[in-house]
Amino acid sequence: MARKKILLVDDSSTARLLARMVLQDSAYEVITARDGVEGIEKAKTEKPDLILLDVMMPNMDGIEACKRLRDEAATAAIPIIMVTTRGEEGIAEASYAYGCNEFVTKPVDPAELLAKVRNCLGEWEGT
Amino acid sequence: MSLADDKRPDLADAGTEELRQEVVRLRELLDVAEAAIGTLRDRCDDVEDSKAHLTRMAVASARLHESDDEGENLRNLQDLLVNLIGTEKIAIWSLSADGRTFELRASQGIDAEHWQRVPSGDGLLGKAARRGEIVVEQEMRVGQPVACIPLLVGRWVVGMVAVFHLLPHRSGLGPRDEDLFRLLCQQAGFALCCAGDPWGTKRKVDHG
Repeated sequence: MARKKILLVDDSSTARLLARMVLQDSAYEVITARDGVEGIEKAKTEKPDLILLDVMMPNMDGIEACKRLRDEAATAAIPIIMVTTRGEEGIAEASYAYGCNEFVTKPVDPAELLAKVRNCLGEWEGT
Repeated sequence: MSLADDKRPDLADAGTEELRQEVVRLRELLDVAEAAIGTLRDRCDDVEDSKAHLTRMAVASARLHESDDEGENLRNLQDLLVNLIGTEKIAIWSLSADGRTFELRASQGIDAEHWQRVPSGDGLLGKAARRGEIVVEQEMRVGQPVACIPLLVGRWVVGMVAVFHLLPHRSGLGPRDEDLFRLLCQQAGFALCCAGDPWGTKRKVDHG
């Protein structure tokens, strides 16, 4: 069975390395981008099964990127998990309003991240 | 009533009693199995937790030694404090040539001018420098560090990291955070010394 592909969009090298280690260890294929602009391009070309999108990024932030991904037919149905250093209601509400499926806050708890990734991909423990 | 009919109630009672005892026995087995599953689930959670912690430590170690450029090293150090600990306000100092002052090299979210030069023997920073050990405060106080992490090269203190404030959704520092601080204490000083001045000179406080 083909490995599910996850696009990780984050300007922090630490966040990318941590998520990459956690997800690759669980047999996902991980591709990365450093900002919203690069993230949208890679989403169109790589057709990932899921996108992890940081909120605070240079060039284009995660909320704007989420909105544009939802407006684009090729990427509209890809599940999106927003990742941020802050869990304020305003950011969460804006993210959900623009169509994100889930939300995780930094510092990311690997177990929580994996559970939410599996949930968004329709996978469950033991399957 | 026939003889056979006479015996049926006894047989039925015996059969029912046997089944009742079987149900009791199976319930006891189920309780044992459920307790074992609970124990295994707890152990799985512990293993997952340890694995997550080790992953964080591996990420920190890898990032600390990624570069021999001071600016990049300092950015990496700040980045991992934000992303692995959840810090909001931090400062990183190197020790002055005479060993009496900590000089600010990088900061985030603090009044940099106020913390530009700090006597190396003062307050929580001084305590951490003298001991050569991390010092963690149990309560966050406005404008004061909640954790001080001396940067060591062997038994020499060459700099200091202070965490002033955590992100709002982080209620405090735990043992896992302190493990990560110990890693920074032991490795970040070495990584920064590889970047050369002002870290690579002989300006060190001997805490031994």
